[in-house]
Amino acid sequence: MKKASLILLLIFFACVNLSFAQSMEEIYRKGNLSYESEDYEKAVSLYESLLDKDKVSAEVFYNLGNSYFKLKNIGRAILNYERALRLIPRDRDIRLNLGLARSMAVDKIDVSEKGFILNVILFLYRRMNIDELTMLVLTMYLVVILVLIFSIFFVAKRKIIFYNIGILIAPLILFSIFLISKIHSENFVEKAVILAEKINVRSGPKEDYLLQFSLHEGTIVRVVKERQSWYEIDLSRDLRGWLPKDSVGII
Amino acid sequence: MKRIVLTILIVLIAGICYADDISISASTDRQEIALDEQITLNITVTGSVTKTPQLNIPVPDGLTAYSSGRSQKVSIINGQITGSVSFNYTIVPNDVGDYTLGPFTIDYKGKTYSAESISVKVTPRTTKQHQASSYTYPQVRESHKELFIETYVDKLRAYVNEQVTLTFAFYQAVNLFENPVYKPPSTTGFWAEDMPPQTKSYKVIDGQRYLVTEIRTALFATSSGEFTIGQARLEASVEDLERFSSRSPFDIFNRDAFSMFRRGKPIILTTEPIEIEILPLPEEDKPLNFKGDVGRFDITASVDKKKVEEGQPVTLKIKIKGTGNIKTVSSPNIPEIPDAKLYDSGSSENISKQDYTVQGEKIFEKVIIPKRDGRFEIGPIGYSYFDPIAKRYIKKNIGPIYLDVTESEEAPITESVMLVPGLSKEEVRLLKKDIRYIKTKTPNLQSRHSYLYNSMFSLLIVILPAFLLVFLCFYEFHRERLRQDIGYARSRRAKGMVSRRLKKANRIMDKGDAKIFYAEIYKATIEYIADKLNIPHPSITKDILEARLKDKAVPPETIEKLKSLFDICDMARFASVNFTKKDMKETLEDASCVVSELGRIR
Repeated sequence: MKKASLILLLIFFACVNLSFAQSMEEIYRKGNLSYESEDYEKAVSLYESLLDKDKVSAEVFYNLGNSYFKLKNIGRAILNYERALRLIPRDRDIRLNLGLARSMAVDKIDVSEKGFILNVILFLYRRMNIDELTMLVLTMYLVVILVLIFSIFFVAKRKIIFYNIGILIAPLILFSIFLISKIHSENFVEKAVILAEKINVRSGPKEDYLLQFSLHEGTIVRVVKERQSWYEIDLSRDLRGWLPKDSVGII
Repeated sequence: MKRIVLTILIVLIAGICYADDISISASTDRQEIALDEQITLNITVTGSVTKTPQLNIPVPDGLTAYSSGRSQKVSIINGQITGSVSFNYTIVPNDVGDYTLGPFTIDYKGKTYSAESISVKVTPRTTKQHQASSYTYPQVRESHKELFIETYVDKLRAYVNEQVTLTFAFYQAVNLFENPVYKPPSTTGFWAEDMPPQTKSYKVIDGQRYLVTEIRTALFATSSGEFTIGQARLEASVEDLERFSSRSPFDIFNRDAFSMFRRGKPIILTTEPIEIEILPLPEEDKPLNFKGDVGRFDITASVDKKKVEEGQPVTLKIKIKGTGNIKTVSSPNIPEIPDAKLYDSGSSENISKQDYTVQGEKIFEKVIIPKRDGRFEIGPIGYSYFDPIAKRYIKKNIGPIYLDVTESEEAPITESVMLVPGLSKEEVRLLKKDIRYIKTKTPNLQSRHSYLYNSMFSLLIVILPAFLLVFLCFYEFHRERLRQDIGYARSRRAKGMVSRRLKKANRIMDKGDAKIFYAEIYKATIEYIADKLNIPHPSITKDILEARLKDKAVPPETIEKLKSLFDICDMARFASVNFTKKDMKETLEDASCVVSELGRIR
């Protein structure tokens, strides 16, 4: 009974977010019409205006990415697909378009091969967004608590429960780690996409520093530090350098 | 085992004790040599040397030192270690003059030991034959040599980019101990092309039969001027015959059986540098399309098909064949063809080194895509080269090639799908792959940084059940104790009981029945204490009570109060003294006061 009401409460909270303004819907529809009539520049400005405020939407990001793709602006297309994918990581359209856009980027960054088991685990990690992971972790937590409460009143079963509670706690810990690392990687580690066609990465935050290497549009980098109008970025263990802020877009 | 340990110990101790007795000496086999001879330098370090010391040999300019191994000897006599390390060097002079070798020093355990220096005089070479250096065995000091090397070129004057063949020859009349190490001469300023294979032949010079190994290199000068081909060097190792000077009939067996212990004697042979004059190519009559090819070449051109449809690619092959530096041959210029596109599609070369001349062919491939129908004219293609034998430029032209283009039946092929060699069809299709269409479903707008994990809801979800769990834990723990611990149960029950009884006494007091009232007060108090202290009721006496309360560290005033309360109760129950309502009220207050004071007992 208690459990059922809790789940109902969870569903209710998920539904609260569904409310949106009417005018927004209007702008969105106009954007789609512009896209259909191949006026991609207008579509971009309409979609961007939707996102001006403190609002995000996977659909708008996705359509924006498509418009940029059509305008051959691969960097911004990748940026918006990445943003969309964070919100709905299981969407196949986004994955496909992102893959296509990435294949058109100039820089080839090696993606290290992982083992099968790691891939299965990472599959779960990659296909859920933060809220879904939170929901899963909370549900697991409640189940553990309920089992513990049950064990208090059923003295006879207490031993069996204590020996087997690990089966419930292990996935709880695993998913909690997923959640924490996901929150960390999306909210505390800034990733950026190169927007300029070609950008020189320098050894310090100024134009006169030594040229380290150059990157091309569409490459994803990790932002380590910022200083005035420069970001220090990190590509891999030994590729690090500074580039101007306006040449990248933070995901 | 023990003995070994002991020995090691002794050795170690001895090593520590006698670590400092070190001497160093240096010697050479002779002090005056000709330019084409060599000296053997021997440096011996004796003493209690347990570790190979660091040796410094200062070698003056004009001499070159090559290490030729070292030997180490260690003897332990009566616990004393004496060792000697000898370093052998072969010193080869590069120039005439007086030189000083040394002083030789070693750094050992922080101290420096040195040996006296040796002076060496180098005289000009005595015999000059074939620009070669030689080595003769010390014991066979005869006019002929057993090993020597030489380098020579086929011409001492050549044009830029003309082939000069450098030959290195190694004459050998004795068996070598191991494979010789050949260091080719430096050929700065030349493009060098190895010309395998090495040739081996026999030659008789002055009655001595030599095995001659020849290595050839083709050189092409990159610019004009005076150039020097440096010294070639050969490090060989011959059998040290001195060790077998006393030959016994059994020696032959010895030699084979101990062949693995034979020691080679290192020999270093060098050659003289060669100077070559490189002439610049003449400026007069230099054709405009001359690109620096020197040699003798032929040029041909062909197309793979003479008749094509519009937009279909045609491959044009230009073949340049002849002798000369094929690798540097560059593509001849093709005059622009109107209404057609021309793409470079690479070149291939085929080089052979027959008769020690670099020759072969280079094929340039071009792709021509005609953009209209009709007749196309390719060429004429001009080509020129410099012939170093005739000493003049030669111009060649290949007449125009004609191409008939018919109208395409299909629609003209667009630029992006055009088949360009090197770009397969599949890749073109991949580039044409389109993205998935936009989403038309109404968007789900959410605020940027609102996540479920930092909402109040999830905080409550985490905290509330945890509190519930803790509370239920305590509750269950309490119930468990009530069930199992009678004392605990009684003491928890006592308070409720006494307040009920005192209320009952209050009601009795209202009725004015003093005897019953005092009995009730007495019972309530005594039962309360009994429950609290977990003593069975019937066994309670005032004395026991007092003793137990004292054990529990109840303040004496409280005990006094309790005693007087009991006294009053006893008086009221058993003596016929009249108690007014006021008295009763006082007693009731006293009782509740005592109870609350006793309530603090744990």
